[in-house]
Amino acid sequence: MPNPPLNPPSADLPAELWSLLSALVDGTMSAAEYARLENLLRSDRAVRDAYRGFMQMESMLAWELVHPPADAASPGDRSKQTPASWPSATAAWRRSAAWLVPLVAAAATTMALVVVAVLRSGGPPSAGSLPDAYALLSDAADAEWADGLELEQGTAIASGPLRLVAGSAQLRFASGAFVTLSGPAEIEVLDGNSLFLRSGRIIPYVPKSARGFTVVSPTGEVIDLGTEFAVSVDADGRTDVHVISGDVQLARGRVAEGTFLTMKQGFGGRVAAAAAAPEFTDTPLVFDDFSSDPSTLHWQDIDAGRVATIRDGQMAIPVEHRGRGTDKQRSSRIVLEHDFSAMKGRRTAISFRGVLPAAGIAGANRWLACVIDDGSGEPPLAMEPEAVLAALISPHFQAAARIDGGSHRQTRVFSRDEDAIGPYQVFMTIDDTPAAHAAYSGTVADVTVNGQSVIRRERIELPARPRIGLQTYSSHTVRGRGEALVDNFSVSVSVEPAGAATAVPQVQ
Amino acid sequence: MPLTHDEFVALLTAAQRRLYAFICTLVVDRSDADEVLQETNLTLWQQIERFEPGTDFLAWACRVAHFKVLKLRDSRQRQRVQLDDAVIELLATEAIEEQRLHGQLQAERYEQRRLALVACLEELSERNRSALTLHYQGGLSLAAIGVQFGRTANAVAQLLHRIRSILRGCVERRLAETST
Repeated sequence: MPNPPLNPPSADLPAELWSLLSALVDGTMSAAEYARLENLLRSDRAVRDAYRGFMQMESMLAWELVHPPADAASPGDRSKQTPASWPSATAAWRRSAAWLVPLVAAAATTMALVVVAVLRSGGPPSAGSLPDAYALLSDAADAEWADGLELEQGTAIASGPLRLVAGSAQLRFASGAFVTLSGPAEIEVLDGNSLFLRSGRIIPYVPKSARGFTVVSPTGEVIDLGTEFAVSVDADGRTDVHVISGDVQLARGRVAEGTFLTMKQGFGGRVAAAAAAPEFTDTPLVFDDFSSDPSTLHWQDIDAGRVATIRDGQMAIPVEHRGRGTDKQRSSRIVLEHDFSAMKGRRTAISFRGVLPAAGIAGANRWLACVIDDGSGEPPLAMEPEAVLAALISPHFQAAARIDGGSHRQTRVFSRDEDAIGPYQVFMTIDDTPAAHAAYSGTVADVTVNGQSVIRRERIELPARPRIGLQTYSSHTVRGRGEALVDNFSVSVSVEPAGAATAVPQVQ
Repeated sequence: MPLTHDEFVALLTAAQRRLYAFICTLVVDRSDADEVLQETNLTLWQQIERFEPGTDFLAWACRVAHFKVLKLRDSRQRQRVQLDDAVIELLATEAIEEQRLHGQLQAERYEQRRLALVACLEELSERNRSALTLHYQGGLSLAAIGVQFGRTANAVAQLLHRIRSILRGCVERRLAETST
């Protein structure tokens, strides 16, 4: 194979070029140096390849270093990290494509359908017609697939669900990882180095080249660090990880060789997607043995469309839910209840109450985000047409209500400064898209916290053009009531369309 | 058949990093590059139906980005020195052609390199990492980082060069390891 361009062996960049490129990125280049660099670039493809390699690395650094965006601050410099500098306000955060993250789940569902269609239309698709073949079926001698699917050895798998009824099969991923499936098992290839294990047992073998191979299960994410391990998911969605050799990472928490770790199923799992009044389990989602390095552990059920995220481990999230018209259920462990009853019609209103356990606010960098749909059966993702509610709970971000409608969403984040007593801030943040922009420009909002009106009939004024991603367009500092948020808060948000009736919405 | 919205989002999501990398080869200033990425995403979004399924998505996205870069350069012409148009044109067209012809290979190489870089970042000393973070994440100027580190802008530039060269060495070493 000829030496591929664009990926030059950059380590042995000629010294002159190296110093020119450094000056270029540092902005310290003289006119003469510009001329010299242009000359070199014009005359030699190899120089251009080297240049592209150098800039590619620059772009990777810029990109990778913004993950995670804002939580990495040590306690010492938290004073600089006021809620006003929440990632939504930074270019880095926008660049991090965080706005796209919630969409991936929805996309995966659709792509799954597409790929199955391809597979069924007969035999291995040619490489040309399937630009993203993420894995090959390397062995399927005794495999029996669901729906009578016939898959020959060598079949390219792009992405999408595979249900093995019986027997075993082996997939070779583009990264070089091999995964052995034992039936019955249901997986979804996510990309060239990761898969979603819905149920069943798999044993990945991960060579060095595939380091970082990730198994996403209904309750967590297992990242391989060059090792052999087994993952199984039972009918209740509980995930077991057994490390055979080496070690694996759960988000940032590690499981050492020879250990066995069970992740319990979290709240909201296995709820029928179309249930009018969703039922939530009261089983807390618990993860142990995490380092203090803040990182995200992500749980989601694509079918039910519910997402929970935990940071910094060792935190249970007992959640109970109050359905439409049903009685409240409360205990000291409740962190969230919600009521969607006011969301019908033109005016959208959401209210919820929360009680934070002491453990949830004692340490820094602990937060919880839950997104709960309204029972419509639609995943609560941006660009999905139904309303959702989200709560962020942390020392900095106490709560957020998110309102979806049409192909857009709006988020209000309630927060407080780091002192337990003192002012807190209320942000208006929009996950901006062209549609959201059109829908929310000129709408009017009311926000009430702990029964006190914080924002009264504020018109949402957006700039002329949308900027894709989370954008904070207004913030309010509320004085003297921050302490009320520490362990108990209630929030109401109402939004009415531009030009709607002038009555102030009823809020809790 | 045109792409569904979900398919489009999936393609766009998957393309973000490399689209940004492409833009960075044409636009040195990172806030400009961010801007171009935003503009490009928006335009791609508005022109979903122009994408021909089966062709390389990233190549298409890069063509749109290239156009956005030219627009940005027009508006910046008198404000700052930049690489000349012919060079930019060469850099862009070669990269797009390469992506069109060898998209899959490019994607794999990028990913290998990226994973190597991520691992190498972990190996950096805390001080080096924090200098990088201030520069790339915080977007701080060399002089501003210098204030934090008690050094001159020039010394910070030297430090960043050294870190870049450590990283490049590390990435190449890792790539060599995995290919053997």
